[in-house]
Amino acid sequence: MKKKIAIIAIIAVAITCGAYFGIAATRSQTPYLESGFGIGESEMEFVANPGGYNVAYLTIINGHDMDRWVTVSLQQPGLNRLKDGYQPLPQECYDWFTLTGWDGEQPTLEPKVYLEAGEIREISIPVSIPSNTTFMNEPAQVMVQVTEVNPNAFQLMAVACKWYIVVVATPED
Amino acid sequence: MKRRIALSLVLAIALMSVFVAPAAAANPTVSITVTAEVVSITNTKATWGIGTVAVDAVVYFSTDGNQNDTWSQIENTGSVTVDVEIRGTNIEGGDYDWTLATAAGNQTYSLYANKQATPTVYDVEVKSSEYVDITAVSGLAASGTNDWSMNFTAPNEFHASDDGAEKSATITLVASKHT
Repeated sequence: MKKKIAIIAIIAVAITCGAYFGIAATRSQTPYLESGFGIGESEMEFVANPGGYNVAYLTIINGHDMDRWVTVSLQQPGLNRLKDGYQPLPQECYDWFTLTGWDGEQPTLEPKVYLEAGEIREISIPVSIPSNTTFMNEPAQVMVQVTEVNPNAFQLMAVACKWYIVVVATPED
Repeated sequence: MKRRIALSLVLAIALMSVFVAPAAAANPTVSITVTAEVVSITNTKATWGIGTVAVDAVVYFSTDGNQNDTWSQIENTGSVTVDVEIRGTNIEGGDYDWTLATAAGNQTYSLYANKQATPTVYDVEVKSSEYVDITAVSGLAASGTNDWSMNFTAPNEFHASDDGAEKSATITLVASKHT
């Protein structure tokens, strides 16, 4: 009984931490890709305050056919891919997101990721909203695109996660 | 033992208050809601050797360079319906690049893709400035396939110094959740 109470208390702390950082995600079982590559998240929604900070995670899933290099970049959505009521995130806001990579052994500043065949790698993307931003109350969309690196190919494959962002004023005390 | 349990409870409650307090106050935050769905596609062809082209030549994506509507096939290997868009680049190499344009011209070339629904109609202009949709009708369902092809039109005029020079371009196919 005493042990149960202690465990419940620890779980309560964990849940509270999760709620504080505002990450709500459910994951199904690990996907298996025979070939090619993909991402584990199709969309993310951000509700941010000026000065806010958090870390988003993007899961890159490599197929079992070969090792791969991919790059991570922010791209403007095509005009026919915009969600109703949203506009493309202005490019001057792209530095709100810090894209990083992985060279197979450690994180890198260059957003280029090495994946072994069958590897699933979660990369972190810190999100930091400037406290003096004037881009407020305007729902915006940006694509986080993962593109294969293949200097010999004419056609490159890419997958993109849609990010929807709205910055709202910090609530009063 | 009792003291240890009481101590751990006090510690847990203290920790909770540390994390709860800022959320209730006016501290700025970024909340994130994630939709966990796999976005993934494959495409059967990765390279295209056009070979030597004459001025104003039209070449189709196919084994023999003639019109063929089933040159390449995209498969949705993810868990969600996707849209597939395409984007091209200028052709680089030699002394002068060829610019991707709506129509072939002086130092400019064009690329047009078809859709599965209209396999003999190459009416999707490939642009360098933005992604354009090549998915059949309304999105490509999970496990679905989409046949597609492209045609290339060479410049109708180019610099003599580029005669015989090797050049290359890249197109990117990008899949994202169907809008």
